[in-house]
Amino acid sequence: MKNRHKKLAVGISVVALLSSIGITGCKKNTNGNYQPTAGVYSYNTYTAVSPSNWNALTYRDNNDRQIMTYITGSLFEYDFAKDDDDDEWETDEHIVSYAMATDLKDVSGEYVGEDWGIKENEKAKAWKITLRQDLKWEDGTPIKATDYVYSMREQLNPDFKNFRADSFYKGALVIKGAKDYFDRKQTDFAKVGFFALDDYSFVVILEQPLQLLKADGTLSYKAVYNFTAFPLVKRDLYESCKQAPITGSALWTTNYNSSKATTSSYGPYKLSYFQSGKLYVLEKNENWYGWKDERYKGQYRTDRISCETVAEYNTAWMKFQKGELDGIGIDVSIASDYKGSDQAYFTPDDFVGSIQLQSSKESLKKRETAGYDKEILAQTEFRKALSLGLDRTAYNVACTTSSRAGFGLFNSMHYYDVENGKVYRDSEQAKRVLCEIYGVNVEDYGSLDSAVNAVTGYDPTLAKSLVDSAYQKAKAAGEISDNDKVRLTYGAAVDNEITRRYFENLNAQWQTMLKGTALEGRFELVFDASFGGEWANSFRAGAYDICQAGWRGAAWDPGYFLLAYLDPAYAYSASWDTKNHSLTFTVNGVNAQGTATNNSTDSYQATMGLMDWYDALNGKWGTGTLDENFRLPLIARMEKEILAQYYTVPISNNYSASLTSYKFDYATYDYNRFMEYGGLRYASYNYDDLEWKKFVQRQGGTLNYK
Amino acid sequence: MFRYVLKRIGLMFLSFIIIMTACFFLVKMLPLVVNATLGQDAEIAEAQIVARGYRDPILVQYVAYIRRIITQWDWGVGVNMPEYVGQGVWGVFIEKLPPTVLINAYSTLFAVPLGILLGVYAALKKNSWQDHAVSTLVMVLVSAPSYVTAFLVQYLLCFKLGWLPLTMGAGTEYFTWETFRSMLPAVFSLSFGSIAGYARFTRAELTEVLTGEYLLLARAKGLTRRQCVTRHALRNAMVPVFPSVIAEFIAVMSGSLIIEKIFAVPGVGRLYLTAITSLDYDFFMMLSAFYTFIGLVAGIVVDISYGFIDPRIRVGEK
Repeated sequence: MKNRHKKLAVGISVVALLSSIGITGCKKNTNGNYQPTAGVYSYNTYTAVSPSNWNALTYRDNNDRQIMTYITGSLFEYDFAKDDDDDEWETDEHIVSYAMATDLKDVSGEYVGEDWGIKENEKAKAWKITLRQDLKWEDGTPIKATDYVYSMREQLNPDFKNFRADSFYKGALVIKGAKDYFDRKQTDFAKVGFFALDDYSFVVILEQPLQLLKADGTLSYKAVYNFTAFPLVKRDLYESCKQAPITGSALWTTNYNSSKATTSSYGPYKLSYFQSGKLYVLEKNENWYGWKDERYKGQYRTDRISCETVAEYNTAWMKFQKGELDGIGIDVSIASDYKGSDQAYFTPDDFVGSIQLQSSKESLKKRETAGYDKEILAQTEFRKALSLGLDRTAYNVACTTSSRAGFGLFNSMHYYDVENGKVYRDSEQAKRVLCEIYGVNVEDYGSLDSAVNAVTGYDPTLAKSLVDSAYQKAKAAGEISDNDKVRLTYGAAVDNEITRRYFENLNAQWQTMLKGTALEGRFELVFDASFGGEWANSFRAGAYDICQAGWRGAAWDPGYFLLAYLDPAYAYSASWDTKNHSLTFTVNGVNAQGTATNNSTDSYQATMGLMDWYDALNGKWGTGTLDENFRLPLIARMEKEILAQYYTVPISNNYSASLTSYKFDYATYDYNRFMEYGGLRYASYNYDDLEWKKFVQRQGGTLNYK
Repeated sequence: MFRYVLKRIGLMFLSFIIIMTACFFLVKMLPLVVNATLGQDAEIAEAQIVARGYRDPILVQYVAYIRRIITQWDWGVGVNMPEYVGQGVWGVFIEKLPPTVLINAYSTLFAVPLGILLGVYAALKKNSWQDHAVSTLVMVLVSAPSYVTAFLVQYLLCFKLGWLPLTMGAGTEYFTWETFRSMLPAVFSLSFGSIAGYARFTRAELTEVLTGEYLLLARAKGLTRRQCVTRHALRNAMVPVFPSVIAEFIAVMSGSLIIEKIFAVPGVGRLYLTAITSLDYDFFMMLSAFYTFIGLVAGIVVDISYGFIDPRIRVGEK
């Protein structure tokens, strides 16, 4: 009997296994896995981290913006200029044009009074925006001005404490009454300077003037720069996505724009498929206004955008070679083979990578152990020596794909007058900063340009003498003895090939620099990746000695960007007292009372703390108030002051290198500061999907991009 | 036996509660990460933390947390997890579980019979060249980390030969041929180590059993070698092997972080590590609860399974 039961059990198991395999084989795949089709042009890309939240009110980082880029639109936009003669795009020029808006008007004069804080004759504080009348959501629902007002109200909703709310009460764009509403100091949204006049126009009233038009009345780039961020959500869908606070919490949340069901598009593409952590697909949104607008003729030729989540670079690289991906970044491991490829292109970046040296002497002393000194790092001379002991060119060749040696806080992507293409680093003042910091005497060279081109940041001879000088001072102060070693901790978020590469290179260079000095053989650099996601806060708190970090952002407002190095809330040199660090300077274009006049014969001299200079630079002498040519010398002087502390040692100007597939071409491979390479908007295709599949097969299934 | 099982289940729940309470209190004692990006209002980040109740006394948070789970089965929403901000924790986990379970289940289905067969073959051919070949293969597979075999499988089978896709296919309909085929590289990569383990274990056990005197008696009585092995030796050799198969099958829920990353499997492998590094309380607690529960259940199941496999073993009896 037992044997019969056993045989029965085995028999049932085998039948079940075979059945499951049979069902698996018979069931058709309805996952939506796409099959290449003739006449369809797909752009296949990948991401290491899947976006989770492309809600304009709450998105966290650029990763979340991936989808937003395609499913939203803007009131105004940059565009390539068009040659009227041959109707071709001028890819080295740009224009600013109306997109979802049809008109922008300064209506400050209509809202004079205490209610809105606008004085007589004040300009650029109230703007009326008129919308197109053919705007629609992807389901055909019309978009009205009241939708913008609703969205702003939800953005500032105090019950939600939305992540992006401060975009409208902090920085250059401050909407009147927004902060009070967000803080519940007043609960009537009608008192916020953002309201509809009718179905197709709304008004924005600002706390500070913001000039969005050029002198000739055409749109300034600031119209795009400042007014693109106005959120727009679909009211009924957003209301259905609201989530009441969970038990123990008082915070409302929303899952709007976090899945296909909760997403609604008003841009050229709509989300047609989304699988969290795996894949999203975008297809054309038939209800986008641009398909009927002649201005967009010949643009957005991509029918389908597919983005797979592939966390492992090697996997993505193999997929690219198999023709399954249409673009990939060039990793340093393959850089030597592919940097010279015809399909390689290099994108400059406003990111400046730096070495951050601990600014807290107290924390250095506290973490010393017997026989090991750290306090020497508190000496400016020693930090300067570490800076001058670095061959930045060699570092970038060894550790990055295509980045270049960086010497200042700003690189070639930082503009002080972007409208006219004026790069900060190309200014005389900025060049002189580099020469002075890195000890290049301009008089030794024929010109300032020759002198700045001679800046390498690498002077091992001077570095060695600075080390010895710092050592003697430390010895005289009783901080170090002849038997002590210097041990500094290099902290990182993770221990991987990349961080180790940086560490090894820096360590090797510094060991070389220290040869022949009092610290030869007595310097230890220790790697510590235990800080994880807290590495930045840990460094600011004094937990370790050296980290590598930088900032990007505000590339068109270098005066604002100084915040990253001066405000203790952001600066890595958090213990440097920038409030009380005095600077004496004379600002031109400002009268003796400190008011901006833009008169070159006026000047204002003062001795203030660096933070006070920063507040003036971004307040009463802010962009639009004081001419950029007068602000520039102050920015340069402050950059010099920051660099001279050697808490921040710039080392890299970021360039990303990428390969594009043979399938398509960008509009241009000359970088345009507003349009970049034209993106998918202007991309053209050499093969449709079916032709591409056959092309790859003809190449034996693997493409050669060398 | 029945009373023993009940007692073990009761102790299991008690252990579970103690472990989860300890996890909750310990993780809440870690400093909160408040990351504000350049120009962003740090007050918003702090306001969100306060509104979520994270600044309340830990005991208050614990009571609210337990009440939420018991009354609403609400494990919370993602706050800091990079790919799951604002999404329900339980929903994300349930969505991610099937690919992990399937890949590991397929790998177990593939590895167990193959591993046992190899082990039996090696044991029967003990000290012959076949035994040495199998042992060498086992040694290589045991020595090579799973990510090494994964890269080899991916490079050879997927990239060079083009027989299989480089990554797992998209979609949630897992029982289709295309999806199954796209899982195979990950399945093979995971199974090699298991095959080696089972083969080695089976060979060792069977070799020892084959030296038993009762088998000599069975042969003397007239049974063929095959009959001896299949009717007697194998059964005894499998006593320690089957519980390990059960334990491994239950352990598959944890997923493989590296395999899932290499083959772009949208599974649970990365969830736990990401929850820890990003300090997402709700994800961390839910995942800790699940794996703790699975681990405790696995312990009970394995202990009880001994009694069913070997009648000589009766757990809990005096």
